[in-house]
Amino acid sequence: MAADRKRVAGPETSVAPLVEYPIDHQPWTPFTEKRHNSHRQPEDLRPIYLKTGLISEANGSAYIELEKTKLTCGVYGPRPIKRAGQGFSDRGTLNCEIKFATFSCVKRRGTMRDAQEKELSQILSQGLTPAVRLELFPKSNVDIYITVLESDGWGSCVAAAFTVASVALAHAGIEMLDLVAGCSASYVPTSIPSNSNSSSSSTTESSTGAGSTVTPQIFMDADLEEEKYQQGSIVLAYMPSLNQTTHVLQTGKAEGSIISQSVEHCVEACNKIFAVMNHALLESIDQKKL
Amino acid sequence: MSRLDRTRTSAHQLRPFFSSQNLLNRADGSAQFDFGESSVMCSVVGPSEVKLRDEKLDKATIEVVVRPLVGLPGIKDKAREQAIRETLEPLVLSGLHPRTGIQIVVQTMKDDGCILATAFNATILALLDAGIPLKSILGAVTCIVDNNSNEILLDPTTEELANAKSTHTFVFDNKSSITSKEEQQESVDVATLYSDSTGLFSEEEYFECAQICYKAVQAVHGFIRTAVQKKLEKEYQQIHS
Amino acid sequence: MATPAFTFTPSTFQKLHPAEFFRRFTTEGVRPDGRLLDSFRPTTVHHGVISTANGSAMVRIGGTTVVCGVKAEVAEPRLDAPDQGYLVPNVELSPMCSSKFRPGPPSEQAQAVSEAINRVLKESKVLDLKDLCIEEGKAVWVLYVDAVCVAYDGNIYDAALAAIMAALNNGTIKVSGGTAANDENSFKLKLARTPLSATFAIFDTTLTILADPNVTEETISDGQISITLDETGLLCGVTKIGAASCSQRVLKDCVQSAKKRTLQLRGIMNQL
Repeated sequence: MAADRKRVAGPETSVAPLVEYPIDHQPWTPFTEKRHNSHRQPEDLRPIYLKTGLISEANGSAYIELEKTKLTCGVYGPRPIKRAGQGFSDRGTLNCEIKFATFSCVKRRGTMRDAQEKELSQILSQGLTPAVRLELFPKSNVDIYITVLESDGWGSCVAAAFTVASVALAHAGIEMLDLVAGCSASYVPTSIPSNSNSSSSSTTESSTGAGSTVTPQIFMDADLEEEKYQQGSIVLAYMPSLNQTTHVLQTGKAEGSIISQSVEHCVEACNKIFAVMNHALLESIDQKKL
Repeated sequence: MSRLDRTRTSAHQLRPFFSSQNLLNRADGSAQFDFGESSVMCSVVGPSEVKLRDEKLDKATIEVVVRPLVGLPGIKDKAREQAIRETLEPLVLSGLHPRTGIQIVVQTMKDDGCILATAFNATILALLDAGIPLKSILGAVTCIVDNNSNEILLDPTTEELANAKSTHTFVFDNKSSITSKEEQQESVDVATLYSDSTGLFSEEEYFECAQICYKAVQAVHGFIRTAVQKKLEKEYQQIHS
Repeated sequence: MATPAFTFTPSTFQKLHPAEFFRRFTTEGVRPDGRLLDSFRPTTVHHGVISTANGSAMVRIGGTTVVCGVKAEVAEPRLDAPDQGYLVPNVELSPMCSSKFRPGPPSEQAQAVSEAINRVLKESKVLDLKDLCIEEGKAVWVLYVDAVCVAYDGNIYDAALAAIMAALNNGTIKVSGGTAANDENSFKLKLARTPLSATFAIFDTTLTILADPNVTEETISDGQISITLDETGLLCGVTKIGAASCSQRVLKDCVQSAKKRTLQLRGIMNQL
């Protein structure tokens, strides 16, 4: 990493330390037929804690916690675009920026925005833009800034980002067609496939051999340990009242039936998340009245 | 006692000063100030045009750029920029030049400790050279509390700074402190324009350092007056000869 | 009898003449948010909030929230200090916490605060860098201490320093994974001292001192005084920047006020 002149300089390069596990350490595997957190069923989501109004300077803000996944979101806008003279636009624009804090992942992340964060920012924009009534603020821009303080599972991070951004937008009073709820699901094989050459630490590649006969199980809202064994995953951004999907992100390999099943599960889960989002927003209104 | 740089004998002795003004012919004002082997040059351009976004309606905008001895500017230089700019804001009569900009560039020429104090002194000389209206002049000096002897040493060199338990930089102007004669002792209510101290020190050590630095800064103020006086005498002779 | 030509609502007056609006309060000894001139805002400290970090803390001073995480990595030591590790603090002021900050590289304020905290940590010898040595000349620990400002309402220096101290206090370097029983190679960071600070704003030509300025007070103030103290009462840093010259009495009063405040802050930090 090139020396950043605008920060306190550390050593030129540094590596994450190797973690030694003791001989009798048994890491969790999905082949025990239970989830990483043994109290959870495959279709259970992690309990969501959602609160608005933590950033007083922002027009709208929200904070979401899914056990170990923590995100904050600040919304600024609508505010005028800088170069308003160049080309009149009759629709406003939505600008999303997501940043993982350096301490949010197991391996320290860089201070500058890397390609994954830029891609995620695009995904968020694509998922939120259909829900926002941009035609109501021409020549203006809405900025959504999300900071991931702790990440426990990439899929859950993206899903939580959708949720927290929608709640912050609503808190800012920006008119929307509907809230966007985000949900993720992973396809994890829970039984060792018949081909004994498979390694249990495969991620998106399915086991070796001509076609695995293992039907993966759908784990809703998988965390980091479970994602290590996933064959594929899906993240859904869904507008519950309108029954419309704004964004589907599918990775890995899976049969069509599994994918459609997981989309249905995600839609159900999004409806539950919608109730939580509504509750948080109603609470914020009550607080304003006090 | 002899100091590490062997030219000084007292703990409260400053290194020899040197300054020169009007060195750069492209700038409105310029000056170089030396504390012994530490030398800083400063150039001032202003009042001049300023970018619209930095424009202030009722005052001049002061911009400071600090360049280090070697390499590209880092966060230390940014911190020095903020220090110099914030200290000059109340001193410069910026209300006389609204909607303009005063750009100050500070370049370290030689480094033997106390760069910030040297930079402050060079800046005030350059502002005087440029004819920017000021409420008062300032004078800056650094002192340390030595790790081994617990003595307060004025104007340390780099070698002495390496053995410092705490480092103190003070900037005083030449009008705010009130000298009062009580009984037979002259006490001064020292008024600090800028103070920056780091390390480990007690409250008593801090206020003692302030008193010692204030006395030393009187020499700096006198030197600045003499330097400007000499420059004006020379210019007068050049015009009238 | 002349009636005033213009009358304003308080909020309009605040927008048109912010300093004058503020002055009306300070002459009575209070501030618009209801505080006295020398009161600090309610402060909370939470330890160990980020499980992926080696040490973490969240500090809230009024509306300013800072989350700090410590990450330990391994690197080669410097040639002139082969048995010393690295301590790299940084403060992030992102556009999320306030509209004052634009996206992109760190602003001047972020750089100045990072540099100030770096100097306090280094020159007050908070951590013995020799403790971070793994093998002399070959490998040392690097502690990246990043304080992310989540919400900005003034006084970032106090909040960031407190968050960094709290995070370092509960910092553990784990060399082996697994349960706590196998942690003979892990060690807790040992701090020689815990400096904490109190910041005051200098407002107006009367040099009114406002403790713990919020963002509006920072904008209208001319200068700032920051006093950093450790738990034994030794000063670790004194900064007076901006505004006209202050007498010694003002600085002495600030030091006294800072002593009380840091004692209170330590009490809050030690409540687990």
